[in-house]
Amino acid sequence: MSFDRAKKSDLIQEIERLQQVVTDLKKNGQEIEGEKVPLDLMAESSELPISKIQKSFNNSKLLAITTDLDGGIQYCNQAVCAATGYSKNQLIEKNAFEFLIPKELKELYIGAHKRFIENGEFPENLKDRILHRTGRWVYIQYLSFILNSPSDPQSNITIIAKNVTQQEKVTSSLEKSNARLQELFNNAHDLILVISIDGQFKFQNQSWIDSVEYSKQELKSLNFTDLVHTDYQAHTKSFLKHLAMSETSGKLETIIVSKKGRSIFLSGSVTCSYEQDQPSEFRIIFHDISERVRTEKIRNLYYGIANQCIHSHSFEDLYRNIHSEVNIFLDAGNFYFAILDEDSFQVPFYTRDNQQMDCPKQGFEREITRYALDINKSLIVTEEDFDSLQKQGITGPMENIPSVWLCAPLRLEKENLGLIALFSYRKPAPFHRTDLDLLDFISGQISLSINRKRNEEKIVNQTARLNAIFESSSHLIWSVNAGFELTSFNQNYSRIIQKYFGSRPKPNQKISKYNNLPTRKEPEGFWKEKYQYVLQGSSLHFETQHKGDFGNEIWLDIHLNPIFRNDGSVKEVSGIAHDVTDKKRSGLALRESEEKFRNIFESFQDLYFKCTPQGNILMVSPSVCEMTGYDQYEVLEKNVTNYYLYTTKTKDLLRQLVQHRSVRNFEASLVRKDGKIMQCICNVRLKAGNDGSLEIEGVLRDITRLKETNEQLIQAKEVAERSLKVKEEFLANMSHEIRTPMNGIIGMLDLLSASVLEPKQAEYLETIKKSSDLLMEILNDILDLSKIEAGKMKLRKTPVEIRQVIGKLVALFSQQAARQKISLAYYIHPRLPEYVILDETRFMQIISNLISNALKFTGDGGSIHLSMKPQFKYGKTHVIKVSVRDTGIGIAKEHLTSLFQSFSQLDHSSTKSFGGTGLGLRISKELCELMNGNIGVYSTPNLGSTFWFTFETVSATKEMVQKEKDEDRVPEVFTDYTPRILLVDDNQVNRQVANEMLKSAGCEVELASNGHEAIARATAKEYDLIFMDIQMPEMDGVTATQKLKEMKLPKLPPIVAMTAYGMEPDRERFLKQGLDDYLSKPIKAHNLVSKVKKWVNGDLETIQGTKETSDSFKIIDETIISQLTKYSGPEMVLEILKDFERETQEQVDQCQHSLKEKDYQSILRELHTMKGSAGTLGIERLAQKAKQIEINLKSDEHQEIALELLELNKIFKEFQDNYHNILNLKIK
Amino acid sequence: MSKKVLVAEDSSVIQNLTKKILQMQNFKISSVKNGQQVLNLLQKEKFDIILMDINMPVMDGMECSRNIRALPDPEKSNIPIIAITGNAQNYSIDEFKQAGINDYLPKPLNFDALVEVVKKYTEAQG
Repeated sequence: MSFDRAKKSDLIQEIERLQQVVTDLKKNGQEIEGEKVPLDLMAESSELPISKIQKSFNNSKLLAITTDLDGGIQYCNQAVCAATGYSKNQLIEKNAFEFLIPKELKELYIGAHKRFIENGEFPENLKDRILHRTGRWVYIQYLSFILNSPSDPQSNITIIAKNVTQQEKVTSSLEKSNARLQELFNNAHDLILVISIDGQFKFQNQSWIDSVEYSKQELKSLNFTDLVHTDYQAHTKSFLKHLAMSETSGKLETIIVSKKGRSIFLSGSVTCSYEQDQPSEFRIIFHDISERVRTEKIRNLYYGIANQCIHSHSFEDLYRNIHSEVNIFLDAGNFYFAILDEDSFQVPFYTRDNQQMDCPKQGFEREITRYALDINKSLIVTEEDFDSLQKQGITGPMENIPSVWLCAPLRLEKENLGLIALFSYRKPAPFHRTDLDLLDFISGQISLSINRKRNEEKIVNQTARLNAIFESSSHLIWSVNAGFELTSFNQNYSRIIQKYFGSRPKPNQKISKYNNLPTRKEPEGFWKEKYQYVLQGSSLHFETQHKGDFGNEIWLDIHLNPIFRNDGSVKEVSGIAHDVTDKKRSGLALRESEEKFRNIFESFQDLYFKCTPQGNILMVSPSVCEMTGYDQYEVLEKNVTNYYLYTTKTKDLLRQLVQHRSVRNFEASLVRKDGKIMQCICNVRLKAGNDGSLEIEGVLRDITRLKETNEQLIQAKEVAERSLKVKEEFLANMSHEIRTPMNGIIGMLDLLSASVLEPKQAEYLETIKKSSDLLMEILNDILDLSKIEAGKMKLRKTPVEIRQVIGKLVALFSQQAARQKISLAYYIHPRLPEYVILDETRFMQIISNLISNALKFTGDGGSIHLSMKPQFKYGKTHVIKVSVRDTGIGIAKEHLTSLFQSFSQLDHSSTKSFGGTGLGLRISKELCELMNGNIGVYSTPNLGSTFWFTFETVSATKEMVQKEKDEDRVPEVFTDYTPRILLVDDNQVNRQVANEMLKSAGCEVELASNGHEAIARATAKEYDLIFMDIQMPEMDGVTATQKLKEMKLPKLPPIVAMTAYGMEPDRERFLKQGLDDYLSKPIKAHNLVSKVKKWVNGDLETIQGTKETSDSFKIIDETIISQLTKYSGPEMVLEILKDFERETQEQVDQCQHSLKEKDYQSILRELHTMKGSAGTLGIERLAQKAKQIEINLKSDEHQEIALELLELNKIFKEFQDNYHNILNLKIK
Repeated sequence: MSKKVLVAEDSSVIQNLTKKILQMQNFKISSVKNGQQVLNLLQKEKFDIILMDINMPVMDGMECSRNIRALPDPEKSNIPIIAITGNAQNYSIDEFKQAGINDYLPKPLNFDALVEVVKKYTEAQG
C-alpha cells in the first residue's frame, strides 16, 4: 500500500511539462517551417542572383551563409552572427571549415561539401553542429544548399540552415527525460503500458511485468485482453472500443490474471492517441488496487464479524455467522472453532463441506489443534508438515490429512481463547500465506466478538440475577437521588405504597408523603431528613413502626446506604426495608419465655449442668450452691471431675454416652464443698451445642436420703424374708414331723374300726377318723403350700391322655357322689387334643379340690358337672379351660374375692361345718399359675357355683404317652425328706450307677463294697434303707443281712437284695433268707427309686407301710387291658373283669371267714389265687396287696392280718368302683 | 383241625381268660378245676396240650403231672404240660422237670407268652 504519491505527482507534472514543451517546439517548428517560403523562394529563385538571395535573408531568422568552394566565407547574414557570436566582419573571409566546424566533423563536412558540389547530393534534414565563438555547439539544420554556378570555379555555395540549438537542447533533454521516465516507469508501482489498438503490447514497465509474471518475450505473443479476467473481458473490451471512438481518455477498472493465476485488481487511466485522425495506441497507467480491494473486503469482513456479535443470540449463532462471513472471503467450507476449556479444548462449531457437524473425535483435527494451541501462533500446515509432525512424534498419528490446514489463535490480550482453523483437501492447496494473514487479522475481531458475547451473556445473567434478587426478595428495595426523586424501586415497594396511598409510585417522581413508606411521624420530612443524612456518605439502619390495616403494629427494619460513584461522590441513596413484625413479636415472646425458664432454672431444686466432653463446666443451675455448698461461679469453667468420685463406673459413663447418646438413672457420688459425699442419681445426655460442638448436659438429684431409706428397707426386707423362711421351714418340718405320728394314729384307727365295736363306739371312732383324715389333709396342704411358696414346687410334666385322667378323677369321686346322691357328669370337648403334656398329679389335685369342694357344698339330689373345653391356641400351645359347675349353696358376691386366699374358708364361721383346710383353692390357684393359667369362680347364692381354671399345655401323641409308660420314669425327687441310703456292691460300676441314680433322686448315699464293710457302716450309723448285692466276695449279701438281723440293732433299716437272678422264685428265696425286698439287676432308676419310695417315704416307723403300695400301683394297668382287648375284644374283657369281681368277692369273703377261724393257710391260698388273677388282669394294686399279705403270712406275721385284709377289701372296693369307668375310657 | 387244649385252673378267672384268649386263636378248649379232673378227662379224651396250674385243690399240678407221665397210653403220657403258676411253693425249674412239666408260664400271666408257648408246643407235635 505504500505508494509514493509525491514522486508520482512530480513525475506526472514533469511529463506534462515536457509534453507542453514538445508541443511548443512543434509549433515553433511549424513556424520555422512556415518560413520555408524563402526556401521555396530560394528554389524558385535559383536563378536569382546571389546578392538578391543574400539580401532576402538579411533579416531572416534562418542562417544564410555563402562560402566558396573551399569554404571561404563570403557572406553571412545577421542570424549567423547571432548564432555564432561573431560579427560579420569577423566571419567574412574566414574558412568556414576551419572556423565554424568542430575539428572532429571537419572531414565529414568537407566530404559532404565536396559530394554536394560534385554530385549535387543533398543530405535532407541533415543536422549538424557548428561551433559558437565560445566553443559551445550550435545545432543547425541544413535546409538548402545553393550552388551558384557549378561550372564557375568562382561559384559559391549558399547554405541555408536553421539554428536548431534550442530544439536540440529540448530534444536532448527530452531524451534524457525519457530515459529518466523509463527508469521512473520501471521503478513506479503503477503499471504503465502502451498497447496498440488491437491490444498488442508496445510498451510496459517493469511493474507490469512483475505483476503479470509474464516475461517481455511472452508478452509479445499475448494480447492485452488475454490477460483480463474473464469476468471483466467484455467490460474492458467495450471500454477500449468506446474510448477509441470518442477520442477521450477514461478511467478503467479491471482485473488481470497473472501467469500464476493471481487476480490483480487494477484501476487507471487509459488515453488513446491518434495518428492522422486514427487511433493508434492506448496509453494506460494502472494502479494495482488489489490491496485496496482486499483491504476493503477485510474491512467489511471485520465489520461483519463485529456486527455478528451484535446480531447473534447465542454462541452457536455467533460461530455460524462468523463462519458465513469468513466463507464470503475465503473458501471456508471446512472450518472450525476450537475453544479452550480448562486444560483441554472443545470444538463448539465444525463444518465439513459447509455442513455443520460434530468434530470427529479421532480426526487429525484434534491432534493438530492441540499442537497449534500449544504453539499459540498462526500456522499454515501443509501435507508435508503434517507428515513431519507425525514422524517427529510431536503429534499423534493422523489420518485423512488435508492438503493444507491453517489456523489463527484467538487471543484476548493475554488470554488465549482458542483458535479458528480451516483446511482443504484441494490440490494445489488453495490457501496461502495471505489467507493466513487474513485469518490472523480477523482472529482479533473474532476473539473480541467471542469475548463480547461472553461478557454479554455474563451481563445478561448478572442482570437477570440482580433483577431476580431485586424483585424476588421479600424486601422492599428502592433508591432516591440527591434531588429526592425515586430513581428505582421494586414491586414490593410499589405494592406497599399502593396499599397505603392508593397509587403506585412512578420512576423519577419527587418523593412526597404519598410515595414513601409509612411511618409514625409525617413521612416526607422524616425520609428527607434520613436521605439527607445518608447523602453525606454514611449508612443508616433503623426500624420504623406504623399501624397496619387492623390497627396492629407493623415493624420495618430499614437500611439506607449511600451509592458511591467512582469519584467517591454520593448522588443516590439505596433503601432496603423488611417487615420484622414477626421477629419483633417473637423476640418479645422469646424474652418472656426466657424469663420464665430462667425462673424455673433458678428455682430448680435438682442440679442442672452442662459441660464440654472434656468436662469443662459451661453452665450450672444456682441450685448447685444449696446442694454442694459451692457458689455457682466457683464451679464454672472448672472441670466436672473435681466434684465427683471418679470410679470405673463413672469412667464408663462417657463410653455409654457416646454409645447411647443418653444415660438415665446413673448413680454417682458428689463431693460437697465440706467434703461430704452426696449420693446422686442423674440423667445425662449428649447434645450438640449452638456452635455444633458436642456438649454433655444432665440433671442430678440428691438421693442420699432416699438411698439411706432404701438401704434400711432392704435390710428390713431381708430380715423379714429370713424370718419368713425360717417360719416356712419350720412349718414344713413340723408338718412332716406331725404326719409321721398321724400315720400311726390313722392306722390304729383303721385297726380299731375293724374290731368289734358297740354302735356308740363306732360312731366316736368314725368322728376321730374323720378328724384325723382332715388333719392329715391339712398337713398335706400346708406342705404343698409351703413348697409352692418356697418356689420348690416344680411341675413334672409328662404326656398323658386327657380322657383317662378325667376318667380317673370321676372314678375317684363317683362313689362319694353316689353316696350323696349327687350326679357327677363330665364333658370333654371333641376338639381337645387327645394327648397333652402336663403334670398329671397337680392337674388332678386342682380338679380334685374343685370337685371335693363342690361335693361339700352341694346337697342331696344336686349335680356336679365337670367340663373341659379348648379356650384358644397360639402356636403349639393350647389353652384349656376346665369348669366344675355345681348346684350347691353358692357364694355371696362379697366373699368371692377372698376365696383364693389362704385359710379363707376357715375364716368364715358360717362355713365351718363343711370342713376342709381352706387351703385347697389357694393351692389350686398357685398350681394354675404354675401352669400359666388362671382360676376363678362365678356364683349365684342358692343356685350354685362354677369354678373354672385355665392351663397351658401342648399336645402330645399316643406314641409319646406309650413311650412314657414303657420308659423308666424320671425318678421323683425327694424334696421334703432326704433318705439316707447304704449301697453295698462289690462291682464298682454298678455301685457308681446306682449311686448316681439315687443321688439325683435326692438321696444321701454311702457306699460299701462288701459285707463286712456293710455291717460296719450299718452299725455305726442310721440309714433309711440298705441296698445289698447278693453275690460278693468275702461275705455275700445274704450272710451280711443275716448277721445284721442277728445283731438286733435298734433301728435296722430294711434291706433290699440286688441280684442278677431273674426268676420270681429267687425273690421268694431271698425273702426267706431275711431280706426285706428284692430288686433284680440290671438296676433301673425307676425301680430303684420306687424301692426307696416304698420303704422310706411316708411311714418310717412301720416299714411295711400300707399307704405307699396303693399309691405306687394302678387300680388297673391299661396296657394289660389293651393286650387283653387285642386277644379277645372289649365285651370279653368286661366279662372277664366281671368274672374276676365275682371270684375275688368270694375270695375276700372267704378270707374274712378264714380269719375268724385263724385258718391262715386258707387265706394264703385265696390270696395266692387272687394275686395271680389280679396280676394277670393288670389289677395291680390289688395283686400287690394280696402279695404283700401273702408274704407276711408266709413269714407267720399274723398280728396285722386283719388290718391288711381291711386294706385289701378297700382296694377291692376301689377296683369295683372304677373298673367300669376305666374300661369305658379305654374302650372309647 | 384245631388243636385241643386242656386248661387246669383253680381260678375261674384265669380259666375263662385262657379259654377266651386261646379260642380266639382257633384252639379248642376244655377246662377243669383240679388235677383229678384232668386225669378223669384224659380217660375219655386226647389233648394236644395241657395248661396246668400248680396250686390247685384235690390234686395239685405237680402230682397231676407225675400221674399223666405215668399213664400207659404214650399218646397221653407224652402230652406237653405247661405250668401256669404264681409259684407259691417256690419250685425250681428242675423240680418242674422232674414232675414232667415241659415249660412254665409265671403268673401274672402274660397273654403274648401264653399264646406263644401254646402254639410252640402244639405245632412241635405236628
